Amino acid sequence: MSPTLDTVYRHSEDVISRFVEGELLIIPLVAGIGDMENDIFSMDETGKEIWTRLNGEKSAAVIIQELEEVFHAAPDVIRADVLGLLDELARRRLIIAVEKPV
Amino acid sequence: MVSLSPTALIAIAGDVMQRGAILRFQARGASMSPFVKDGDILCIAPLTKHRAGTGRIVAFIAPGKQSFTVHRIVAHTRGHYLIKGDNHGSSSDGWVPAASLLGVVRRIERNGVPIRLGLGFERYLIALLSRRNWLLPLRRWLKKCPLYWGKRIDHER
Repeated sequence: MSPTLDTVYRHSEDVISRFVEGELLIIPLVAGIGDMENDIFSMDETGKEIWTRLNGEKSAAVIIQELEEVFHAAPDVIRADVLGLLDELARRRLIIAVEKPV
Repeated sequence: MVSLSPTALIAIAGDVMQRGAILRFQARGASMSPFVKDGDILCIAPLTKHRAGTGRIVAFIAPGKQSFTVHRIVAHTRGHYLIKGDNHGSSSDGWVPAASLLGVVRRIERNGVPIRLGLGFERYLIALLSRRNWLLPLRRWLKKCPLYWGKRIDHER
């Protein structure tokens, strides 16, 4: 499912993220050797700003709004970057969409 | 693939092992040749799941250097491990305290294919030969010798 502006994401429990020497690294955890196919991911500046906001509370729309203030870039560009990265992270199961309460 | 500094690798390995998961990364260097080669993918499992013992290839923090290293245990006493690269002549990493061990190599992949040589029961023999500084001379001799398994070792170079 592609992310929408209303989608809220949180980090997966099967992921470790860590700042090392100024770099944000995301490490998918695997329990068994048969499961392994993922590598370690490194985030660029935009990626860092997005990743740290994926706390299970902020929707994509809120993140886009906040990043517009941080980067002073065109809203369309920020929107494409955020939704694109969320889609990529979700596809790799590094983030999980939070279910909305009924 | 992300390229990591030794500091980053130590930090990440610590985190991953603490969570009981497996760390997968690309080996660099020739210190463990021919059993681990430059570019091989290593899978490191936590010590809580796999015991470190003689013959095992382990990831550890090298004493004094604070560098992430993957070499073989060639002997051990209570709480300390004598560790050495398979391709090292007489020099070893010295006696490494158990606290410096990060994990055990459970799988080696070369060009996408699992490599089993060096991880099975032959590891005890490799450790013995390495500890007595016979492994490197034996390899050199095998390279000159037209034996089948000598050719196999050469073939893997």
